[in-house]
Amino acid sequence: MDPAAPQWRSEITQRLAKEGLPHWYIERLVCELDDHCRDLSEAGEPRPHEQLGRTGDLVDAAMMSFRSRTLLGRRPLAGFLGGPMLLAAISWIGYFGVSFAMMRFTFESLDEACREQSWLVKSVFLGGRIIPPMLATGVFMWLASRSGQPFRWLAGSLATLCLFFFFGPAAHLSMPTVLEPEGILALSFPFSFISTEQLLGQLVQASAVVVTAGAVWTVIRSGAPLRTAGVEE
Amino acid sequence: MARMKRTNPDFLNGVPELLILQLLSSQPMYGYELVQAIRSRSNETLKFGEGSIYPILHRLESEGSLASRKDFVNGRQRVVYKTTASGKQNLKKVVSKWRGVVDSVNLILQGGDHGPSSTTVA
Repeated sequence: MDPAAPQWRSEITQRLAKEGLPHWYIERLVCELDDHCRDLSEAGEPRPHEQLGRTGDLVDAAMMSFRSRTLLGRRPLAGFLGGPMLLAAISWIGYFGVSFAMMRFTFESLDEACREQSWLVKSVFLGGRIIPPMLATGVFMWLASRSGQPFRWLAGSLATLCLFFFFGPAAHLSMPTVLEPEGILALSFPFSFISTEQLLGQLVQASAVVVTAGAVWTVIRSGAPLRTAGVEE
Repeated sequence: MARMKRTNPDFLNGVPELLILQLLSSQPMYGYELVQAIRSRSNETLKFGEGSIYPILHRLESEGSLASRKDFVNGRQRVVYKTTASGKQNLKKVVSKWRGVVDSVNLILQGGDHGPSSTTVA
Protein backbone atom coordinates (compact mmCIF):
# COMPACT_ATOMS: atom_id res chain seq x y z
CA MET A 1 0.00 0.00 0.00
CA ASP A 2 1.43 3.37 -1.02
CA PRO A 3 1.62 5.49 2.17
CA ALA A 4 0.89 8.68 0.19
CA ALA A 5 -2.22 7.21 -1.44
CA PRO A 6 -4.87 8.37 1.10
CA GLN A 7 -3.58 11.94 1.02
CA TRP A 8 -3.41 11.94 -2.77
CA ARG A 9 -6.92 10.47 -3.02
CA SER A 10 -8.35 13.03 -0.63
CA GLU A 11 -6.63 15.90 -2.45
CA ILE A 12 -7.91 14.93 -5.87
CA THR A 13 -11.43 14.30 -4.53
CA GLN A 14 -11.55 17.70 -2.83
CA ARG A 15 -10.21 19.57 -5.83
CA LEU A 16 -12.63 17.95 -8.25
CA ALA A 17 -15.57 18.59 -5.89
CA LYS A 18 -14.51 22.22 -5.53
CA GLU A 19 -14.45 22.55 -9.30
CA GLY A 20 -18.07 21.39 -9.42
CA LEU A 21 -17.74 17.88 -10.80
CA PRO A 22 -20.58 15.67 -9.57
CA HIS A 23 -19.91 13.16 -6.79
CA TRP A 24 -20.85 10.12 -8.84
CA TYR A 25 -18.23 11.03 -11.43
CA ILE A 26 -15.50 11.75 -8.86
CA GLU A 27 -16.28 8.45 -7.16
CA ARG A 28 -15.96 6.57 -10.45
CA LEU A 29 -12.73 8.30 -11.46
CA VAL A 30 -11.04 7.83 -8.08
CA CYS A 31 -12.13 4.21 -8.00
CA GLU A 32 -10.55 3.52 -11.39
CA LEU A 33 -7.39 5.41 -10.40
CA ASP A 34 -7.19 3.33 -7.22
CA ASP A 35 -7.46 0.16 -9.29
CA HIS A 36 -4.70 1.44 -11.57
CA CYS A 37 -2.48 2.15 -8.54
CA ARG A 38 -3.10 -1.36 -7.27
CA ASP A 39 -2.05 -2.80 -10.63
CA LEU A 40 1.11 -0.67 -10.61
CA SER A 41 1.83 -1.72 -7.06
CA GLU A 42 1.44 -5.39 -8.00
CA ALA A 43 3.84 -4.77 -10.89
CA GLY A 44 6.48 -3.66 -8.36
CA GLU A 45 6.17 0.12 -8.62
CA PRO A 46 7.17 1.54 -5.19
CA ARG A 47 5.17 4.83 -5.44
CA PRO A 48 2.39 3.94 -7.88
CA HIS A 49 0.32 7.12 -7.55
CA GLU A 50 3.22 9.14 -8.95
CA GLN A 51 2.87 7.24 -12.22
CA LEU A 52 -0.63 8.63 -12.60
CA GLY A 53 0.67 12.16 -13.19
CA ARG A 54 0.55 15.44 -11.31
CA THR A 55 -2.64 15.98 -9.37
CA GLY A 56 -3.14 19.37 -11.06
CA ASP A 57 -2.79 17.86 -14.55
CA LEU A 58 -5.18 15.09 -13.64
CA VAL A 59 -7.77 17.50 -12.23
CA ASP A 60 -7.47 19.69 -15.36
CA ALA A 61 -7.85 16.68 -17.64
CA ALA A 62 -10.91 15.44 -15.73
CA MET A 63 -12.52 18.88 -15.72
CA MET A 64 -11.94 19.51 -19.42
CA SER A 65 -13.16 16.08 -20.33
CA PHE A 66 -16.30 16.25 -18.17
CA ARG A 67 -17.21 19.80 -19.19
CA SER A 68 -16.86 19.05 -22.88
CA ARG A 69 -19.91 16.78 -22.60
CA THR A 70 -22.55 19.51 -22.29
CA LEU A 71 -23.26 22.95 -23.73
CA LEU A 72 -23.35 24.46 -20.22
CA GLY A 73 -19.96 22.92 -19.54
CA ARG A 74 -18.44 24.21 -22.77
CA ARG A 75 -20.06 27.68 -22.79
CA PRO A 76 -20.72 28.58 -19.15
CA LEU A 77 -21.10 32.34 -19.64
CA ALA A 78 -23.80 32.09 -22.31
CA GLY A 79 -25.43 29.03 -20.76
CA PHE A 80 -25.63 30.17 -17.14
CA LEU A 81 -26.69 33.70 -18.08
CA GLY A 82 -29.09 33.05 -20.95
CA GLY A 83 -30.23 29.54 -20.00
CA PRO A 84 -32.32 30.46 -16.93
CA MET A 85 -34.03 33.36 -18.75
CA LEU A 86 -34.86 31.15 -21.70
CA LEU A 87 -36.17 28.32 -19.53
CA ALA A 88 -38.19 30.73 -17.37
CA ALA A 89 -39.82 32.32 -20.44
CA ILE A 90 -40.54 28.91 -22.03
CA SER A 91 -42.02 27.46 -18.83
CA TRP A 92 -44.21 30.52 -18.20
CA ILE A 93 -45.47 30.85 -21.77
CA GLY A 94 -45.83 27.07 -22.02
CA TYR A 95 -47.85 26.77 -18.81
CA PHE A 96 -50.31 29.56 -19.63
CA GLY A 97 -50.40 28.61 -23.31
CA VAL A 98 -51.44 25.04 -22.49
CA SER A 99 -53.86 26.17 -19.76
CA PHE A 100 -55.61 28.72 -21.97
CA ALA A 101 -55.72 26.29 -24.88
CA MET A 102 -57.40 23.69 -22.65
CA MET A 103 -59.88 26.25 -21.33
CA ARG A 104 -60.68 27.39 -24.86
CA PHE A 105 -61.19 23.76 -25.84
CA THR A 106 -63.56 23.15 -22.93
CA PHE A 107 -65.41 26.46 -22.69
CA GLU A 108 -66.71 29.04 -25.16
CA SER A 109 -64.68 31.80 -23.55
CA LEU A 110 -62.70 32.68 -20.46
CA ASP A 111 -65.77 34.53 -19.14
CA GLU A 112 -67.79 31.35 -19.36
CA ALA A 113 -64.99 29.43 -17.63
CA CYS A 114 -64.95 32.04 -14.86
CA ARG A 115 -68.68 31.82 -14.41
CA GLU A 116 -69.08 28.05 -14.58
CA GLN A 117 -65.81 26.70 -13.15
CA SER A 118 -64.35 29.56 -11.17
CA TRP A 119 -62.37 27.15 -8.93
CA LEU A 120 -60.65 25.69 -12.00
CA VAL A 121 -59.67 29.11 -13.35
CA LYS A 122 -58.45 30.21 -9.94
CA SER A 123 -56.38 27.03 -9.65
CA VAL A 124 -54.81 27.62 -13.05
CA PHE A 125 -53.76 31.13 -12.04
CA LEU A 126 -52.56 30.01 -8.63
CA GLY A 127 -50.58 27.22 -10.31
CA GLY A 128 -49.09 29.82 -12.63
CA ARG A 129 -47.40 31.36 -9.62
CA ILE A 130 -45.74 28.10 -8.63
CA ILE A 131 -45.41 25.66 -11.53
CA PRO A 132 -43.41 27.76 -14.08
CA PRO A 133 -40.72 28.81 -11.56
CA MET A 134 -40.52 25.24 -10.23
CA LEU A 135 -40.21 23.82 -13.75
CA ALA A 136 -37.59 26.34 -14.85
CA THR A 137 -35.53 25.94 -11.66
CA GLY A 138 -35.75 22.15 -11.61
CA VAL A 139 -34.82 21.69 -15.26
CA PHE A 140 -32.01 24.24 -15.08
CA MET A 141 -30.50 22.73 -11.94
CA TRP A 142 -30.61 19.29 -13.49
CA LEU A 143 -28.78 20.61 -16.56
CA ALA A 144 -26.31 22.56 -14.39
CA SER A 145 -25.55 19.48 -12.28
CA ARG A 146 -24.35 17.73 -15.43
CA SER A 147 -22.16 20.62 -16.56
CA GLY A 148 -19.31 20.13 -14.08
CA GLN A 149 -19.08 23.88 -13.48
CA PRO A 150 -18.44 25.39 -10.03
CA PHE A 151 -21.28 26.40 -7.72
CA ARG A 152 -20.75 30.14 -8.28
CA TRP A 153 -22.18 29.82 -11.81
CA LEU A 154 -25.28 28.08 -10.50
CA ALA A 155 -25.69 30.65 -7.71
CA GLY A 156 -25.63 33.43 -10.30
CA SER A 157 -28.23 31.65 -12.39
CA LEU A 158 -30.53 31.09 -9.41
CA ALA A 159 -30.30 34.77 -8.54
CA THR A 160 -31.23 35.57 -12.15
CA LEU A 161 -34.22 33.23 -11.93
CA CYS A 162 -35.38 34.81 -8.65
CA LEU A 163 -35.17 38.30 -10.16
CA PHE A 164 -36.91 37.12 -13.32
CA PHE A 165 -39.85 35.69 -11.44
CA PHE A 166 -40.06 38.60 -9.00
CA PHE A 167 -39.96 41.40 -11.56
CA GLY A 168 -40.93 39.34 -14.57
CA PRO A 169 -44.15 38.01 -16.01
CA ALA A 170 -47.27 37.75 -13.90
CA ALA A 171 -50.76 36.67 -14.80
CA HIS A 172 -53.42 38.34 -12.71
CA LEU A 173 -57.12 37.61 -12.78
CA SER A 174 -60.01 39.38 -11.08
CA MET A 175 -63.04 37.15 -11.14
CA PRO A 176 -66.25 38.65 -12.59
CA THR A 177 -68.30 40.63 -10.10
CA VAL A 178 -71.59 42.48 -10.28
CA LEU A 179 -69.71 45.71 -11.03
CA GLU A 180 -67.30 44.10 -13.49
CA PRO A 181 -69.18 41.19 -15.01
CA GLU A 182 -66.41 40.27 -17.44
CA GLY A 183 -63.65 40.17 -14.84
CA ILE A 184 -60.16 41.44 -15.46
CA LEU A 185 -57.40 39.36 -16.97
CA ALA A 186 -54.03 41.04 -16.83
CA LEU A 187 -50.77 39.66 -18.10
CA SER A 188 -48.20 42.03 -16.74
CA PHE A 189 -44.47 42.38 -17.22
CA PRO A 190 -41.55 43.95 -15.33
CA PHE A 191 -42.13 46.39 -12.49
CA SER A 192 -45.93 46.44 -12.83
CA PHE A 193 -47.30 45.49 -9.43
CA ILE A 194 -51.02 46.08 -9.81
CA SER A 195 -51.91 45.41 -6.20
CA THR A 196 -50.59 44.14 -2.89
CA GLU A 197 -52.08 40.78 -3.80
CA GLN A 198 -50.00 40.71 -6.96
CA LEU A 199 -46.87 41.76 -5.09
CA LEU A 200 -47.43 38.80 -2.78
CA GLY A 201 -47.90 36.64 -5.86
CA GLN A 202 -44.55 37.81 -7.24
CA LEU A 203 -42.94 36.96 -3.90
CA VAL A 204 -44.48 33.48 -4.11
CA GLN A 205 -42.99 33.08 -7.62
CA ALA A 206 -39.51 34.05 -6.40
CA SER A 207 -39.88 31.84 -3.31
CA ALA A 208 -40.83 28.88 -5.52
CA VAL A 209 -37.41 29.25 -7.17
CA VAL A 210 -35.62 29.15 -3.80
CA VAL A 211 -37.63 26.21 -2.44
CA THR A 212 -37.22 24.16 -5.63
CA ALA A 213 -33.50 24.95 -5.75
CA GLY A 214 -33.11 23.71 -2.17
CA ALA A 215 -35.03 20.51 -2.86
CA VAL A 216 -33.19 19.72 -6.12
CA TRP A 217 -29.83 20.52 -4.49
CA THR A 218 -30.58 18.01 -1.72
CA VAL A 219 -31.40 15.34 -4.31
CA ILE A 220 -28.27 16.14 -6.33
CA ARG A 221 -26.05 15.99 -3.24
CA SER A 222 -27.44 12.58 -2.38
CA GLY A 223 -26.42 11.59 -5.90
CA ALA A 224 -28.70 8.62 -6.31
CA PRO A 225 -30.92 9.66 -9.25
CA LEU A 226 -28.06 11.13 -11.23
CA ARG A 227 -25.94 8.01 -11.64
CA THR A 228 -26.80 7.92 -15.31
CA ALA A 229 -23.26 7.44 -16.56
CA GLY A 230 -22.62 4.39 -14.44
CA VAL A 231 -20.91 1.32 -15.72
CA GLU A 232 -22.91 -1.66 -16.84
CA GLU A 233 -22.60 -4.45 -14.29
CA MET B 1 6.69 15.70 -6.15
CA ALA B 2 9.62 16.22 -8.53
CA ARG B 3 9.39 12.59 -9.59
CA MET B 4 5.83 12.99 -10.83
CA LYS B 5 5.51 12.36 -14.53
CA ARG B 6 4.33 15.29 -16.60
CA THR B 7 1.65 14.70 -19.16
CA ASN B 8 3.28 14.65 -22.59
CA PRO B 9 1.77 17.71 -24.33
CA ASP B 10 1.99 15.94 -27.69
CA PHE B 11 -0.25 13.29 -26.26
CA LEU B 12 -3.07 15.75 -25.82
CA ASN B 13 -3.90 16.76 -29.39
CA GLY B 14 -6.38 14.10 -30.47
CA VAL B 15 -3.71 11.38 -30.50
CA PRO B 16 -4.87 9.63 -27.33
CA GLU B 17 -8.39 9.30 -28.73
CA LEU B 18 -6.96 7.79 -31.89
CA LEU B 19 -4.79 5.29 -30.03
CA ILE B 20 -7.51 4.34 -27.57
CA LEU B 21 -10.12 3.75 -30.27
CA GLN B 22 -7.65 1.73 -32.34
CA LEU B 23 -6.45 -0.47 -29.47
CA LEU B 24 -9.92 -1.05 -28.06
CA SER B 25 -11.34 -1.89 -31.47
CA SER B 26 -9.19 -5.02 -31.59
CA GLN B 27 -9.89 -6.21 -28.04
CA PRO B 28 -11.62 -4.96 -24.86
CA MET B 29 -9.21 -3.72 -22.18
CA TYR B 30 -9.23 -2.08 -18.77
CA GLY B 31 -7.34 1.15 -18.09
CA TYR B 32 -4.06 -0.28 -16.81
CA GLU B 33 -3.96 -2.84 -19.61
CA LEU B 34 -4.58 -0.08 -22.17
CA VAL B 35 -1.76 2.09 -20.82
CA GLN B 36 0.63 -0.87 -20.94
CA ALA B 37 -0.47 -1.60 -24.52
CA ILE B 38 0.20 2.02 -25.58
CA ARG B 39 3.61 1.97 -23.94
CA SER B 40 4.74 -1.37 -25.27
CA ARG B 41 3.40 -0.89 -28.81
CA SER B 42 5.02 2.54 -29.07
CA ASN B 43 8.34 1.06 -27.90
CA GLU B 44 8.08 3.15 -24.70
CA THR B 45 8.07 6.36 -26.79
CA LEU B 46 4.70 7.61 -25.61
CA LYS B 47 5.01 8.27 -21.89
CA PHE B 48 2.41 10.25 -20.05
CA GLY B 49 0.68 10.67 -16.72
CA GLU B 50 -1.19 7.38 -16.75
CA GLY B 51 -4.20 8.76 -14.89
CA SER B 52 -5.02 11.10 -17.78
CA ILE B 53 -6.27 8.12 -19.78
CA TYR B 54 -9.42 7.80 -17.62
CA PRO B 55 -11.03 11.21 -18.33
CA ILE B 56 -10.50 10.51 -22.04
CA LEU B 57 -12.06 7.05 -21.73
CA HIS B 58 -15.05 8.55 -19.90
CA ARG B 59 -15.53 11.26 -22.52
CA LEU B 60 -15.34 8.79 -25.40
CA GLU B 61 -17.85 6.65 -23.54
CA SER B 62 -20.24 9.58 -23.06
CA GLU B 63 -19.93 10.34 -26.79
CA GLY B 64 -20.92 6.75 -27.57
CA SER B 65 -17.56 5.76 -29.10
CA LEU B 66 -16.79 3.37 -26.24
CA ALA B 67 -18.86 1.06 -24.07
CA SER B 68 -17.82 -0.15 -20.64
CA ARG B 69 -18.81 -2.95 -18.34
CA LYS B 70 -17.60 -4.35 -15.04
CA ASP B 71 -15.92 -7.68 -15.51
CA PHE B 72 -13.75 -10.07 -13.51
CA VAL B 73 -10.26 -10.04 -15.05
CA ASN B 74 -7.23 -11.62 -13.36
CA GLY B 75 -9.24 -12.24 -10.20
CA ARG B 76 -10.44 -8.67 -9.77
CA GLN B 77 -13.48 -6.71 -10.84
CA ARG B 78 -12.44 -4.10 -13.39
CA VAL B 79 -14.04 -1.62 -15.75
CA VAL B 80 -13.41 -3.00 -19.22
CA TYR B 81 -13.83 -0.77 -22.28
CA LYS B 82 -14.39 -1.61 -25.92
CA THR B 83 -14.96 0.40 -29.09
CA THR B 84 -18.58 0.52 -30.24
CA ALA B 85 -19.80 0.41 -33.86
CA SER B 86 -20.13 4.20 -33.79
CA GLY B 87 -16.62 4.42 -32.34
CA LYS B 88 -15.27 2.32 -35.20
CA GLN B 89 -16.88 4.71 -37.69
CA ASN B 90 -15.35 7.58 -35.79
CA LEU B 91 -11.98 5.82 -35.80
CA LYS B 92 -12.02 5.60 -39.62
CA LYS B 93 -12.51 9.38 -39.84
CA VAL B 94 -9.82 10.13 -37.26
CA VAL B 95 -7.33 7.75 -38.92
CA SER B 96 -7.96 9.36 -42.31
CA LYS B 97 -7.49 12.82 -40.77
CA TRP B 98 -4.32 11.70 -39.00
CA ARG B 99 -2.86 10.22 -42.21
CA GLY B 100 -3.63 13.52 -43.96
CA VAL B 101 -1.72 15.42 -41.26
CA VAL B 102 1.23 12.99 -41.41
CA ASP B 103 1.35 13.23 -45.23
CA SER B 104 1.28 17.03 -45.09
CA VAL B 105 4.05 17.18 -42.50
CA ASN B 106 6.13 14.70 -44.52
CA LEU B 107 5.63 16.76 -47.67
CA ILE B 108 6.96 19.82 -45.90
CA LEU B 109 9.86 17.94 -44.33
CA GLN B 110 10.85 16.34 -47.62
CA GLY B 111 10.20 19.41 -49.74
CA GLY B 112 12.84 21.69 -48.27
CA ASP B 113 14.83 21.77 -51.55
CA HIS B 114 11.87 22.44 -53.85
CA GLY B 115 11.42 26.14 -53.25
CA PRO B 116 13.42 29.16 -52.26
CA SER B 117 13.42 30.09 -48.62
CA SER B 118 11.53 33.28 -47.78
CA THR B 119 13.84 33.93 -44.86
CA THR B 120 17.13 35.59 -45.55
CA VAL B 121 19.86 35.21 -43.01
CA ALA B 122 22.24 38.13 -42.91
